[in-house]
Amino acid sequence: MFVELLKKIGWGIATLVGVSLIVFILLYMLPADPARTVAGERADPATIAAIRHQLGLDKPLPVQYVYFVRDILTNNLHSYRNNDLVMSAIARRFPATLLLALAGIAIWLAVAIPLGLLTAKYSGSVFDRASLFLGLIAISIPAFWLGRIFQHYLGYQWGLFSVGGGGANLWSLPLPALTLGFAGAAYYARLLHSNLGSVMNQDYIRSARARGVSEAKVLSKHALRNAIIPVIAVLGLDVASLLSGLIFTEKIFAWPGIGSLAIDSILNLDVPMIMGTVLFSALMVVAANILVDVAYIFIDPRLRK
Amino acid sequence: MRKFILLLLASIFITGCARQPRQPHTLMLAAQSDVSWLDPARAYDTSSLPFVRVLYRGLVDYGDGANIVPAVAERWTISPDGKTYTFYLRKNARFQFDQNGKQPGRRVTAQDFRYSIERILDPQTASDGMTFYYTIAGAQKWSEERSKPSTKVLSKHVPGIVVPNDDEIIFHLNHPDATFLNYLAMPFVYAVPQEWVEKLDREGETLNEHPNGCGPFQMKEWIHDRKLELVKNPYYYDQTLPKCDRILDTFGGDDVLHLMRFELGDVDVQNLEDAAPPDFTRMTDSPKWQPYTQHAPMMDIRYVALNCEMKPFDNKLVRQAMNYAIDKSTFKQILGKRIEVAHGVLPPGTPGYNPNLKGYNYDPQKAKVLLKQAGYPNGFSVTLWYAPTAATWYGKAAQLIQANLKQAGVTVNLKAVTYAELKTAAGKRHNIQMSLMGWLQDFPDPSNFLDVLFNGEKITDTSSNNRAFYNNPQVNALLNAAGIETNQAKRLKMYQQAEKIIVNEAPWIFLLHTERYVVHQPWIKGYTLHPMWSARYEYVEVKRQGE
Repeated sequence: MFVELLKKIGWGIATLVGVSLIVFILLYMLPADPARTVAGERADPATIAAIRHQLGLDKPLPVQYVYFVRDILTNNLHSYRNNDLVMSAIARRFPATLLLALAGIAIWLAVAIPLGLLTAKYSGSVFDRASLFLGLIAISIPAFWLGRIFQHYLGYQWGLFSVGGGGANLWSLPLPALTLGFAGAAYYARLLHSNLGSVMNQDYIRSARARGVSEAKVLSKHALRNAIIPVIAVLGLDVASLLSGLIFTEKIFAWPGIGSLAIDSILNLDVPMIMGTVLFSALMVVAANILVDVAYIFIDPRLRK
Repeated sequence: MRKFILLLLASIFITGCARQPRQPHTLMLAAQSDVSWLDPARAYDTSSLPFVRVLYRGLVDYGDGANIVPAVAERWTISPDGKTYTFYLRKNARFQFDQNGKQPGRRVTAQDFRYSIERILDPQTASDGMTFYYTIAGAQKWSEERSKPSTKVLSKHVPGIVVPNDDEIIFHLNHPDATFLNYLAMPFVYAVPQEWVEKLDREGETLNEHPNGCGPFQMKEWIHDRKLELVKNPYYYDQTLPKCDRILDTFGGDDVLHLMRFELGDVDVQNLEDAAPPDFTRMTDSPKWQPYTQHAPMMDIRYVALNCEMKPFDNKLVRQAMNYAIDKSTFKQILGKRIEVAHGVLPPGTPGYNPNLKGYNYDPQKAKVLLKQAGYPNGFSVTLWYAPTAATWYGKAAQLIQANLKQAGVTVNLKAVTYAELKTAAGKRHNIQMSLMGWLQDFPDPSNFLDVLFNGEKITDTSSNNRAFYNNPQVNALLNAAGIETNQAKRLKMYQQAEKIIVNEAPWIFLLHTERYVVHQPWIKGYTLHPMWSARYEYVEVKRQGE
């Protein structure tokens, strides 16, 4: 088990190196001059050349890549836009992103588990079909639109929640968390529902029922534990889509996390910050997948052997 | 885990109903993105300048209009030949902090201004403002000596800057320059204390993160991408300023969110420059907000640069046809009353603006005739580069230009890029044919438009600001002569002559000038739009009930 884990970490590192190379080459190929971005509108060619030299942009590509890796590992990579340290900026924003992501996942699971259990119990009923229909709508609504609707009605018109812009705090959290949680909740409810459907036909469920175990207990104790394993697996894979949802959600609600940092750096062609945010996102995806593998082992005792 | 989730959900919904309280006497602002720079040498964008100008102070400033008034300099004299400027400093201007971060700091002296100018002339500082100060005798050489590694001993100071004592600074110029006072009013050369900058440098810190000027506000806290908080500087030399105790600017979100926050009373001043047309009309037509809405010319020009060195725009007739083919009134669909059609280069309000300049009216038939004369009876195909992310306007404007030119038989392919890519591509010689651009004044003078954007002698192979690569010796001569002329009436006449030739030769499609609209809360007093500064926060009062 330990060797397997080490192997996964090794592959994770290889993935990160691959991502860093791809991002580096793609940004290098852009037809824009970062030295010009740093030097500004009026700088003369001599100044731009001096800045290009200062940033090491006149060095061969492999050397620039080595510099980049060195700087990112030693937290010496600076933003072109405001000279901010890239890793410090990401670290500063990470708690906000983590809080929002956890709140979003909490809403996913808090809605999905009861809804999945109920629709499985009343499978085929009007309630099940209505929830399927509404779930499909929820999954299909893009976050940037839904966020705006929540913001306009729940925040601006009805004054129930903060419209955002107040920083990363509990005042500003509800609407971005709801936006992020809405589609995910519907998706996971459906996933759990279909998993429960197949689990409920298993022999051990029939045995439990034959032993006189109540239907509620059969569902919540016997069926759920098995049906939730694929959900956890998908949850790990979904970190990538969660991060992309975060980008729009953070921007709409002015949530000061890594998503809005990524958008701002792309719009300003802040190459070091773009690389930092992309690499950090890749790190999150890799870490989530490893964590899911570990979580499997705790949920399914058979995997411990 | 279960408990944590329940607690998180409960806290989300319980606290969700509350609104964050406001601090008293605080001007609340909101911006889409962080302030870029609080180091005056680097600050050159609209996010940074309003804050830099209240943290630091220069020798001179603008008054209520475009007139130059004393600031740290109490007065100044100009020699009869217009080449020597002598400034006499006030004795009560102090930096906010001393070397140990205690208040107040030491007195601001003439050496501080010399240091600030030399600091931006040093290429290592990477200041956008460097070339403005090449007009000082010996400044360009002093700067160029430092642009490449050298073993020879470099001159310590710029020869053209003389500091006889703490209270006096003298500038010797290469030639008379009527805009020199404007250069000194720019925040690039606001006073910074040398020992503070050097101490920060030794500690691996920067002035950007630890501003120390002699302006009416001082920095309390700057959390990047989240908020900037300034508080009143109690030692500011004009004890009647600032009028409010604190400024809090929060970053993130877009105009839609900011407008909601404004209407909910969480933000005090809202710029309507980029507001969607329905929101713009709703706010400016609303009886509630009309009394608190102000507007003034933005002092800009938005244009399409036609590369005069590349086909088909090397032909004047084609360039003129492009101008006749655009119905500029259609841009009102995007910006409504926020635009004024451009008849030339200079925006109304600029000294030397020529109201009699006719420009090009919409005449698609004439455009077709001119294209035929130029040898393009069936039109041609061309690519327009534009940056939709620079402002919402650009994306929509590019589509309108495409639709307009199609009527004249010209097929426009749209190439959307980031603003950084656009600047690089458009500034490179023989690279792209057509780019949708904008220019905002640095200071109110025709030279800042005409000389920077059309003087053929200033074309460079890369990073050229003359993006049409327009080079007319007659225009160059007029611009060069106007640059050293001290008689204002004479020089403005020369600029008008140059502009007339430029408009006739049509190196651009002259599109429009924009109007700036700002709405503020009823409890905000003293907020007025200024022809030079996007905001002057030291004059703004926050008078909320109960505060």
